[in-house]
Order: sequence, then structure tokens, then C-alpha cells
Amino acid sequence: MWVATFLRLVPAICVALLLCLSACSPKPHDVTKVAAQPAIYPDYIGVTIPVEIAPMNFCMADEAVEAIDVVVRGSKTGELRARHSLTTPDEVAQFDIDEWHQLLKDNIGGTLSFTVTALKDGQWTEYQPFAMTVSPYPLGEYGIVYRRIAPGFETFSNIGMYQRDMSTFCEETLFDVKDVDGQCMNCHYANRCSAQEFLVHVRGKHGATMLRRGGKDTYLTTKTDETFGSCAYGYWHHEGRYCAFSLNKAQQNFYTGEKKIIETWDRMSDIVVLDTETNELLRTPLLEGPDYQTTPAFSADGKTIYFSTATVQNMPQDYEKVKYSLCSIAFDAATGTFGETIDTLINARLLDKSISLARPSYDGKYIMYCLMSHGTTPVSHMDSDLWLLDLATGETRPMDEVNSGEADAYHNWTGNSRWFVFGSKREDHYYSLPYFACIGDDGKATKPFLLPQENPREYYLENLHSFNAPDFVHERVDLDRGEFTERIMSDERIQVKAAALDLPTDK
Amino acid sequence: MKTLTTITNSPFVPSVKTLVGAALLFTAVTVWWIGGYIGTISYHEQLQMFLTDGGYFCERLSLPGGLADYLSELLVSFFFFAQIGAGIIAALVVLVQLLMWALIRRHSDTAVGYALSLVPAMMVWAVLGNPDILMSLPVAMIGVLALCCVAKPRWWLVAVLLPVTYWLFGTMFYGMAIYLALYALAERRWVTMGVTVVLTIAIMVVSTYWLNYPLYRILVGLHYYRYPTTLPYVLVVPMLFASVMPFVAKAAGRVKVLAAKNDWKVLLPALVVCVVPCYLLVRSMYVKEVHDVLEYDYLVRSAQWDKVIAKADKQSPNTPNTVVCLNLALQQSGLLPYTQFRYFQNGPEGLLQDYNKDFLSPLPTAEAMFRLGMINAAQQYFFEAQEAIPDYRKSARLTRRLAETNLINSQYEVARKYLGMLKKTLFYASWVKEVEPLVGNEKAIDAHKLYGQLRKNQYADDFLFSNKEMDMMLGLLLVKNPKNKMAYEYLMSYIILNRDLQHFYDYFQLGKDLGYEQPPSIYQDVHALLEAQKSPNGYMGQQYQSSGTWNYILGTAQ
Repeated sequence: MWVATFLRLVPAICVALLLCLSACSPKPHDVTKVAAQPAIYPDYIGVTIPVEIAPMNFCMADEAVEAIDVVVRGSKTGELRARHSLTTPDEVAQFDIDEWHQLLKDNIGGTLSFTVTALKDGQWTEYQPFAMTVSPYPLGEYGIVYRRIAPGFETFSNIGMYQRDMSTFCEETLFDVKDVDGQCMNCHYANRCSAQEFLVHVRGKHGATMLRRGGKDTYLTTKTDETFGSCAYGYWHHEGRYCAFSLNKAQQNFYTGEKKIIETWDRMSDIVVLDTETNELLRTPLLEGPDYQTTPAFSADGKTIYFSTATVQNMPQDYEKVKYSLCSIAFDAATGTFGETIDTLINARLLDKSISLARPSYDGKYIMYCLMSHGTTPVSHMDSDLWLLDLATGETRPMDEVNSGEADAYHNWTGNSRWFVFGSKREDHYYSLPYFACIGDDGKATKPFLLPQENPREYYLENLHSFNAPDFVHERVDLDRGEFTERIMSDERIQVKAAALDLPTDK
Repeated sequence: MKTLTTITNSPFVPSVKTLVGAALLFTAVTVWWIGGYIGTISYHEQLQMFLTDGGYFCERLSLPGGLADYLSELLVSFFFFAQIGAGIIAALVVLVQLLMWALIRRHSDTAVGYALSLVPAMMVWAVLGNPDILMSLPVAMIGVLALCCVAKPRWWLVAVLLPVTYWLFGTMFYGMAIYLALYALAERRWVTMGVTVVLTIAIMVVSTYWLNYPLYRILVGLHYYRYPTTLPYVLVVPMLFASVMPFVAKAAGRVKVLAAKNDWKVLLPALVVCVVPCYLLVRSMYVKEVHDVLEYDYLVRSAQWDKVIAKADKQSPNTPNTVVCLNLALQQSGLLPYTQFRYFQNGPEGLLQDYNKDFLSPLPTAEAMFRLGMINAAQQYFFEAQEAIPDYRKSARLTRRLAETNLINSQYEVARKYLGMLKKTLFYASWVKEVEPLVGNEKAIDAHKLYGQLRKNQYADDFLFSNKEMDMMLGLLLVKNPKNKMAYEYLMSYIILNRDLQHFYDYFQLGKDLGYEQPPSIYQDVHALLEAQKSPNGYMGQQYQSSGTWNYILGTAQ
């Protein structure tokens, strides 16, 4: 044990030694002042951040800048200077993690003013200060969980599930492809950010749905004789007993042109609800019709299931005619029964648009969803934008304050419904990265910011993965990788049963 | 002060005879690889992207065997120049032999010992016949043997060396453990032997607990083989032989007739006994069909079209992948509409294959698509092939192609990302310098000889690509650029390979402005066939009966 502990400490010891040998970083002199704010990477100018966030390290957008000196002043109190050492390149503004957190705590509800002085071609230039606002609303979460996957088409390569502490730069592997014998895995679905109630799917030869609830891990086979596929997109009922799923038989085609890459579409899709106590799939003919039904989500009070639905088209020829509307059906958690009618919240066909991934805020105020020209996989549609439906007023609007010209999708809320994370391809059209923003009392979101990294340029330049379906998590997910591998490889599964489908008498 | 004699008697200083032997071995291995396995050298190089930054080094060193892995990737980077690659492989084999001889000399400085020192080296030469055994195997062996040469059976030295060797060179440290255990046994050092055995087991137990890898991978090694889900146990054989060879030599040295040091009468038979079986092993481990596929891929990669055709002239390719290579080479040499049916053809799949979840087979098709102007389809193939690399490494060759497809598609940010990574490689950085000014510069790309032409060839409209309707896809390329001769020849070839001649004359007309002085012979054959089918016993029918085109279309090809 001590050997393993020692070996784990080796990198930290090396870093500590290097820090002790702090390099002589250049100090600004003969500074020229300019009236403009600096162009920085990532663009953190004017963003609002939660008090728990890791240091917002950045560098100049201009890669020719050789060194950067940054002084941060709190509007209430405190001052902090970016540090440099052998492990921190001169061109990156990196902040001491403890001093950073203290400064944020001291300035909750206030602003931080960043004064940047940059060295280029032997000349120091001081820019006008820019600000970040420290939100009065905490994130209230340990971090995020996501799947990292190369944004490919058919091959999944070194896919893995990871968790990231939002207060530090620590990323931890929950499990990856080598733990599951090279098999694919689908996203992690947690019950309102819970680290105690979540599920993940593993696909392939040793496929399973691993469901954690009540301190127990269950490995399920969710494909039944009565249903055409395994459970896919999932969403928990907040009481924890039920989980709604879509069953999707997906297919993909590729574009020929310059901008669009791939079209993923459902050959078939239905919605079922898994009763985690009886391991039974609850069904209704209203959600298993010939139409496509997908991406279900329970309302905040658990009495409604929101989902997207579209009429079947001649695919793939008529792929542009597939328009998903946002609909809902009642659900009674006490009896595990569905309502008898489907309500249409937003008729996308009238808008000539398509809606996907409805995500109700946990406080019951909003539904955030993706809107795009057609189809069901927003992450592959560069016109996919986030929209917000105010459930009190029925008003819906595009979230222009966070949207970009590239795909914005896969959004999830924090437990307090004040913050949300979403994946965006705005960086380079190809790789989806996690952005964060805050919703104010007026329903307006703040400018989104990219997940901070210790050396952001190097990290994101060398990153060859998309951060798929990021979701918040209250506390660190404790998953024994060895045991997980053993259970996956054992093929011991509980076979889920499908409840009888009561056909309506008028059909 | 040491005298000259003491130094030259040291097991670490090779004698002239040893050097001559090493030179002969080096030459043999180099000639072997240059003569027949250049494609395999390229294959190794294209399945990795060695970066020169510190982060990459630290990432490699974070796992046992990391140093061997890192050094191996560094060396394989030089395989960019295939002939140098052959020299490096030969040097690795020779180093194994020299170190083996140094180790054996510690125990038995005999002619038989020298002959035995060739056995593990030739085994390494043999196992490298499996193109998925990585260079980290000989690198790790060299590291372990070098440390064995300085190791002594002292428990405290064992306690330091074993874990260090394991971390730097991976499970090849077994070799050191066996060697030290036998050494300790020979010297009756029971404590050292006990420490060796216990520590070896402890290292493996800790690894099993600490590393999230299946047990069989930890036992056989993480970095010696490209496929993580299957591991050939032949991987451990050369090291096992290496670890016991000093004691075999020592035992042999106790036999009076074998104890001679510099006796040719002993050395020559010993060499025959050791080298001949090893050479037969080498020959058996290099499977011609496997390396042929890799050679075709290399020749396509390096656009050596005449060599592809020359190779096919010797033996017509007969796998889907190699037929794609040949047809591409024929087209690039202007021969496709003339000589295609002199060679075996397997149908339209021999022009453009459907994507297979593989890291090699999609590449010739991707190269053809790239040249045709099917940029997105080529990008998909290149991307998927890269993601299919079994040990999850990236490929500098494919990343370069991806940077190019994104430059052509004006996706400059992602192109910049790929170029940024290639800039950190040893041999792609100079290419990056050439193309970096193109990023974001539409006019420069339009004016670029290759990329500008491919933009002209590329589809005008955005629609869903269909592998099932390849004639339509090729036809649309011609609609975009009627001067796209490659698209025309592929289209014509496609309908002939598909035996779908209904629209032959419609498509044939599209080529009238493409600079043919007279219709290419294959099209004349098809025309004659269509005419002959109107009157099967006519003169024309007899004239063309032996045509390869006819035989293919009529299904009478041998």
C-alpha cells in the first residue's frame, strides 16, 4: 500500500521540487499603456463565475506573446498576482489556488478586476483592466461528470467517463475503455446531480446498464423481447424509483460539403419508464407509436414527462423533413401509470424547426432545450441553439446571450438551478467543450465561460476529445474501477421485464 | 590506474571479432528490412505521433515501461525515413546481441558463449516479423540487459534495481529477476535469491492493485504489443532466453570440448547450431502476405505509383485493400482505362471500399477519395482510421491528412489544432511551416496547386454521401468539375466493375473533352462487347474474346 501511495505522490513531489526552483520570470518595465482591453484565451472577459470555481487561468490570444503579468484586485478586498515558476510558462497567467479561492470568497457579489501587462517583441504593454463578476449564487456542486470521446462517427477509440473537481484542476477517470474490454459506453445519468443515484450504459459483448441506487450497484440487461433496443437517453424521476428512457435505433450518414459533417437519425425510437424497484419497463402505446419519440425528461414535480416527437419520414432521403416537437405526457409516480393524452408544448413543425433534449430546471421554472433546423442530435447540427421556455408565462426565447454559430447542446442544471453547463463546438466546429453560465432572477443568462484548466491553451490545443453530455455532481462519485470491471466482465445481469402494453380500445 | 589490458578484457569492451560479428549482423538485418519490409517500417511510423514536449514525456513515464515506450516512439519517429528505420531496427538487434555477449562473458568467456549471444538477438529479429510487436520490446530488452550487466547478486542492489527496471522498462524486468535469481543461486546467496523472488511477486501484486489494467496485460506488458485485448506470449520468449543464456553458456563452458575461447573449430559449429535454427525462425515469422499489404500502403502513401504497378506485375494483388492501391496507382499513372483488367479485379470495392472499423484498410480508399475531391468522405475515413488504432495512439500521417481536409474545408480552427500538434513532432514540423501561412488565407488555398485543385473538385452542394450510389457520387464530382479526369475514370471503371453498362454511352460522352486522343482501350473493349452482344458470332466478338475487360464483364476471368 505504501508503495502505491508513494508512487502516487511522485508527480506531486516533482512539482513541489520544481516550484522550489522558481524561475526568474520577466518583470514589466518601460510599460506602454493602451486604451483597449486585452484579447485573452479563453475569453473570460466579463464572465460571471461561481465562488467555488478553480482559478481562471488564461493567456493572451496572440500566441506570439512571450510573457504575461496579471494583477487581480477584488472590488471588496484583496489582491492577487499571477505566479510563474518552472512549471508555469511565462505566457500563462496562473493563480495560486488557495489565494484564488480566498479572493473569491472575499468578493462574493462583487467583481474582480484583472490588469494585464504583456510582453511581445521586447515591449511590455499594459491593457485596460477587465472584470469578472463573482456571483452571489454558489455552484453548490463538487464538479461535473462527462464522457470524453473523439468526435468520430463509428469508432469510439479511448472513450471514458471522467469527473472533474470544479474547485481544482483535478480530473479523475471513473472508468474507461480498457476497464470494459474495449467496449463503447454511453453517458452518465444522475438523479439531480446525485453521486448516489446514477446509471451508465456499457455497449457491446459485455453490455449492461449499471444502476446505482440506495448504496447498491445493479447491472441490468434492458433489452427485452418486447422492446426493440436497450435503454439509451435517460432521466431520473426525482424520487429515485423511476427512470425514463428512450430506446433508439440510430443510424448516421455523412455530408459532402464544407460545413456539415454528419447526420445522425433514428430509424426507430420509443419511450419507456424503468421501475428500479421491480426492474420492469413501464410502457404506454402513446409513447410507442410509429412516430419517433425520444429524449424524455421528468418535470421538477415528477408529474409530467417531457419529450420530443416527430412523424416518421422516408429516411434518409427526407432527413430535412424530420421536425421534433416538444410534447408532454402525465405520469403518476404513485401508481406508475401514464396519462392518456399527449400535450404539445411547442409545435416545431409550425416553426419549421426541431426540438431536442428538453431539460427542466429543478426548481420548476424553466425548460431549456435545443432548437435546430431538423433532426434529433443537436451536437451534430451547427445551427443547434439553446432555448429557454418559461413555464410560468409560457414564453420561449433563444438564449442569444450564450449561443454561438456552432452547435450548442447537451445542457444540464446545477441542483440549485442557478447554473447550467452545456457543450459547445464554438471553439473549432469539431470538438464539443463544456461551458458554464448563470441564470439570473430575470431569466437572463450570463456570458458563458469555458471550463478552466491549469494551462488552458496547451490543454485545449492538445485535447482530441469532445466533452460529451456534461452533468453536475454534488460530490465525488466513488466507483471502484476494479469491481466495476469485474462485474461488467462477469456478464451476470438482471434481465429487465417489459410490462404489458395496454392498447387503447379505439385502435 | 587500469591498464589497457584490463580495459580490453572488460566484458563491456567489444573485441575486433565481436565488432566484425556485430557489423555482419547489422548488415544482414538492414538488408533484410530494406529488401522486403520497407512497408512495415512505414506502418510502425504511421501509427504513432511522438511529441517532443515535456507533457508527452511525463505521460509516458506515468506507467511501467514508460521509458521504453518513450524511447521506442522516439526511434520510430525516424522511421519516417524508411531506410534509416531499417538501420535503427538492425542497431537494436545488434545492441541486444552485444549486451547479451557482455552479460555472458561475465560468466563464461567462450566461443560457445559468443554463439549463444546471437540467439536472443535473432529471436528479437524474428518476433519483429509480427508488425504489431512494437519497438519498445527490443528497447526494453536493451535497457534490462544493460542494467543486468551492472547488476550483482546483492540483496540491496536487487531491492533498488528491480522496481526501477520495472518502472522504466516494464515487464521485461522478469528477465532481470530470473537472471539475478539464477546468479544468486549460482553463488549460493539465499537472501538475495529470496529478495528477488519476493520483490518480483510484490511488484506484480502492487501493479495489479494499482494499475487499472487487466491482469494478463500487466503480466505480459503494457507497451510491447499494439493490440491491448490480445497479447501473443511470444513477446516474452526472447527475454526469457536472454535471462538464462549466461548460465547455459556457463554450463556449456564446463564441458571440456566446448570450453575453448578462441577456437574456430568450436566457434563455427556453435554458430551453425545457434544461427541456422534462428534464421529459420526469422524466415517463418515474416509472413509475406501480411507485409505485402503494408508495402502497398506504403507505396500509396509515398505516391510511388510505378512501384505499385511493378509489384502488381510480379503478382497481381488479390485482397480488396491491395486492389484499391493498384487501381489508384493505375489511375495516377494514366493507365486505369487501358490496363486495369490485366490484373485481378474484385468488383467496385476494388475502387473505393466501404469503411471497415480498421486502421489500415480504409487508408487507400481515403487517399483515393482525397484525390478525387470527396474531401468529407476522405476526412471521415482518415479520422475513423486514426481512432481505430488499437493502442489508442494518434497518427502523425493521418493527423496531417486531417489538417489538410480541414484547410480545404476552410475549417481553420481545427486545422490549426492539428498543425499545432504536428509542429511538436520531429519530421512533420517542416511541413507545418510550409502550410501554416495558408491557415485562414482563402486566396492562398485557392491558389495552392493541390488544395486549390481539390477545392475545385469538391462537391458544390451539401447532401448526404451514399456509398451505395457511388456512380452518382462520382458523377456529381464531374458535374462540379467536368475536367476532373480522375472522377471520370473512376466513374467509368465503377460502372464496368459493377457490370452496369446501361448508361455506358451516356457516361462515356462526359470524357470527350478530357484530352484522350482516342477512346481508351478498355472503353473500346466495352463498346465492342456491347456491339458483339447484338451479334454474338460477329467478327468483333471474336477479336475481343481474349480481352481482360470482356472476361471480367462476362464473368469468365480466371
